[in-house]
This record gives sequence, structure tokens and C-alpha cells, in this order.
Amino acid sequence: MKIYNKKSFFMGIFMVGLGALDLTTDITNKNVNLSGMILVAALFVLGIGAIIQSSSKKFAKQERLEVLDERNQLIALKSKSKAFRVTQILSFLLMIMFLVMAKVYDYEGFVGISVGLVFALSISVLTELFTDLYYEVKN
Amino acid sequence: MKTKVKAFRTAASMTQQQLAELVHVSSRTIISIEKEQYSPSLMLAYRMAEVFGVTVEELCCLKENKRLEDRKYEDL
Repeated sequence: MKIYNKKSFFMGIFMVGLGALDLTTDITNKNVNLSGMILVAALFVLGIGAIIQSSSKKFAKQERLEVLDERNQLIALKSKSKAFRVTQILSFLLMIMFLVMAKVYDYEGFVGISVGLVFALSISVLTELFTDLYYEVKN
Repeated sequence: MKTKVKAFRTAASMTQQQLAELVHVSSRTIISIEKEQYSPSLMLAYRMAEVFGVTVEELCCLKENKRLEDRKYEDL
């Protein structure tokens, strides 16, 4: 059997292994129940499916095409950029909220959380700055 | 961006999937281009133009799109 997609193959092996480990643990501990069996069955089905897919040349080509697709790349770029911006805004809002809470409840723990958020926000701003500089030079 | 991809594709009796396979993209990309939601890269436009045997200028309605884009800069 030739493997065309190693990632899918190892993911399948991992799932089957996890299912087998779960099954063995359940049997050893005499803790066999319906939900556990459903989980094991799902892991086996998904794992074996992934292994079969990994040996399919057509599927590997399709997956490669999806990775190289320019619209998919643009979507990934845009969504990551948006997620980064939303995280920055949320961090800022949470920082303000915790500072207000620290003042209202007179609890230093909230100040600590705010400091942590300021730290994260500073890293993100600096990262953005340096990334921007990098691409200004490269492009 | 407005394109004539759908017109040329239907004229060539081609499905979106067939065109997608010929130009090495997903069929969703072709659908988005036809819906004017996504502007193809220069290389993709060239690939599609080659498939239909037309120029990129004709396929992508470049003159019309340029005119539309020029309006944005008129007020600057």
C-alpha cells in the first residue's frame, strides 16, 4: 500500500491507536459502557477512513489542490488577520474591565490579570510592528 | 471584479468542476469568481483565458473594470 498523504496516514494511525488504548483500558478496568463504545467505534471508523484516504492518489491530489488554492490561501490569511485584530481588541477591553474591577472591588488579583493582558497586548503590537517592517523590506 | 468566466464556460459547455480541474483550483473558487465575490490572480486569469482561447483583457473585462475603478479616484 503506497501512502500519498503521510499526515492523513499518521492521523489515522493515531486515532486507531487511541481507540485501541481506550478499548483496552475499558476492558482492563471492567468499565465497558455505551458512551465509551461509541467513542471507540468513532475513533476506529475515522482512523481507518483516514488511513484508506491516505492511500488514495485522487484524495491526496484533491487535498493538495485545496492547500494550493489561491482563494483558500486568501481566506486563511484574512481570517488569521481578523482573528488577531479581534484578539487585540478583546485583550484591550478585558484589560480596561479588570482595571475597573480592581478599583471597584479593591482586589489586587484583578490588577495582576490586567498586567498580564497588557503584556500580551504589548507582545502582539510589537509582533505586528516587526512583521510589518519585515514585509515592507521583503516586498 | 466583473468577469466573463461564466459566459465563456457555458459557451464551452463546461462544468465549474471541469474548469476548476483544468486551471488547478477548487470549484468553490470558480463559483466565487462567477459570483464576482473573488478576483482571480493574474496567473489564474491567464490560465482560464488560455482554456477559453481568449485574452485576459477580454475574459476579465479589464477596460470596464478599469473605468469602474477610475471613478473611485476621481474624487481624490
